[in-house]
Amino acid sequence: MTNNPLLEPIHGISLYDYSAANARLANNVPVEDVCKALGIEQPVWEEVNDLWVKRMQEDGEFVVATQMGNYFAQADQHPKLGSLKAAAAAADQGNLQQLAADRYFYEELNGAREAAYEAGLDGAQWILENYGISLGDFQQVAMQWSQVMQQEGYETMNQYLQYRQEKKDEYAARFAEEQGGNVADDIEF
Amino acid sequence: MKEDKPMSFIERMKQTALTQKSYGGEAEIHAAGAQQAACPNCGASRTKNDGLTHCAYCGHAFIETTLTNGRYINKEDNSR
Amino acid sequence: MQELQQHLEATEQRLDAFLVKLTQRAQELLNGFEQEAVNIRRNDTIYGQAYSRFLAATRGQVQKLREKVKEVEETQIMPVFYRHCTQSSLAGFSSMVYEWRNRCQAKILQWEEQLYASESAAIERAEWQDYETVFQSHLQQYHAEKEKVYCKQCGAKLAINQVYYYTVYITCTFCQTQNIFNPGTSARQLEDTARKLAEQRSRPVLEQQQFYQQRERDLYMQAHELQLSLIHEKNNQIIKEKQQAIARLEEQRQEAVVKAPQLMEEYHRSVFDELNNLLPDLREHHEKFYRAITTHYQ
Repeated sequence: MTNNPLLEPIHGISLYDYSAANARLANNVPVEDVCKALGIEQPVWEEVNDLWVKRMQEDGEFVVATQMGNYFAQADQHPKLGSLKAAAAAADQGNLQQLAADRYFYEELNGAREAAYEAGLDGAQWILENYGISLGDFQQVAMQWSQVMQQEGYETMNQYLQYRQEKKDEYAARFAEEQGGNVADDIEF
Repeated sequence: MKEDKPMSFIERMKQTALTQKSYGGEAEIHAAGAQQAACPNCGASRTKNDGLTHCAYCGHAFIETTLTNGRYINKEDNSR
Repeated sequence: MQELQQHLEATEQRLDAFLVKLTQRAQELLNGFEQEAVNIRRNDTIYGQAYSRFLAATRGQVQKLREKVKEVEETQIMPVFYRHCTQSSLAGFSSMVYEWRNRCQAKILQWEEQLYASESAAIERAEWQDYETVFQSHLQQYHAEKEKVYCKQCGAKLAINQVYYYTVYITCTFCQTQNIFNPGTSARQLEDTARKLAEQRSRPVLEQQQFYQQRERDLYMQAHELQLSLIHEKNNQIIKEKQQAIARLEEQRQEAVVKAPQLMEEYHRSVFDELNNLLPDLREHHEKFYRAITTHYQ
């Protein structure tokens, strides 16, 4: 595909392997399980991990990071890691499918997650507890949507962003109510 | 409303920050330490000369990929 | 017209009072944040997970203050402006409304800038650490811990003669057995701490760079204002003097235009020189990283 030495596999672990592995780790799959599926031991994984990060830092053109994002979106199709799940995770398949198929639902959960962080909650944990979607799955779907967005006109994108903002405001109001209001609610113009 | 602010407001923010579960769990501190790298198949210990990828006794593959030149691990570490 | 003037004045006074109250509240919030941040950080996990949430919540509340002001601008200031700005049949009417709007917006902008500055300053103070001490303590901790690591096969002390940043295979020098050595949390934090320390040491250069960057903007604004004052100027002597002043300001501005990027380059070089001093075994990587950053900047 390319002669870029920055994209050569490290200890036999390609950028696709590495990206899919990160998607699984972000789903709380233990690193031991990822190593086993890739057929390597932990010292090899840790060196691979360190060196891929360093390659991204050394890459002034961001080729590695961009490609990693594309591969991240394809983690489910990875031959060795595609079906790897965290033992405890009973992912809500219905919600996950809706997240990938329904743009409004995707924007809503993005807004909710942003609002959660701004309310001092752990947004990723909040999504997991309330919708059964783990961070790795969420980011994988996000990469898929970002490919759709690249083809999208300004008008369309703006419309979704506005929807996201509306939802964010709704959730922010809800979190504020749960936490006893915002800091300057009593100050009026 | 007024007597609620601002210190008790900060206190509430603090409690929210402290009492929550972090995604992926809390980061733990580990001291430096070693683990045995024996063969899970036949129990034999592994030596530098045998290379890192296969057991010298039973041939079990510890590492199924081919090692390249990294930082601490290199091509020479592939078992022959 | 007089009625409108009164309405505008009253609204502006309300805006002044509103902004003062919000500034006080912001200050209380940020003071509280600073005090509690110390306590939270003291007992936090190594990645500062609780502090991150507390920080995000504080930023979120500051953002709520901004939104409050934005809403007032959109509902109390701009509609009045739009209602009256086109009624230009009356002399002076329109310019009065324009000036009023400009003053209100300038006050809001200044309020936002001050809020941003206090927010950043509070966060910086809350997060400040002497990274010289932190780095040394991580290094000492690692060296102390690695002296107590023994071969899992024969029990001999493992000869670990360097810093390892992640899990590696270590061969026992007595029985040749491979051990899997985990260097521990202190060693894993070294690279990150070294970067923060290198940035801390190079800070004076960055501050100089920021000074020239700001100076460039200030000089531009000064020249711009002089330029505007020329529009209605009739006196040739004053016009000449002002034009000379503008030329001098432009000359100084050009100096800053050249200096700021030079200092940025100097800052990056300084950070990477410090990194090479702190972690000499990573020099090759540091240099490649430096080249990527400078290429990107150019």
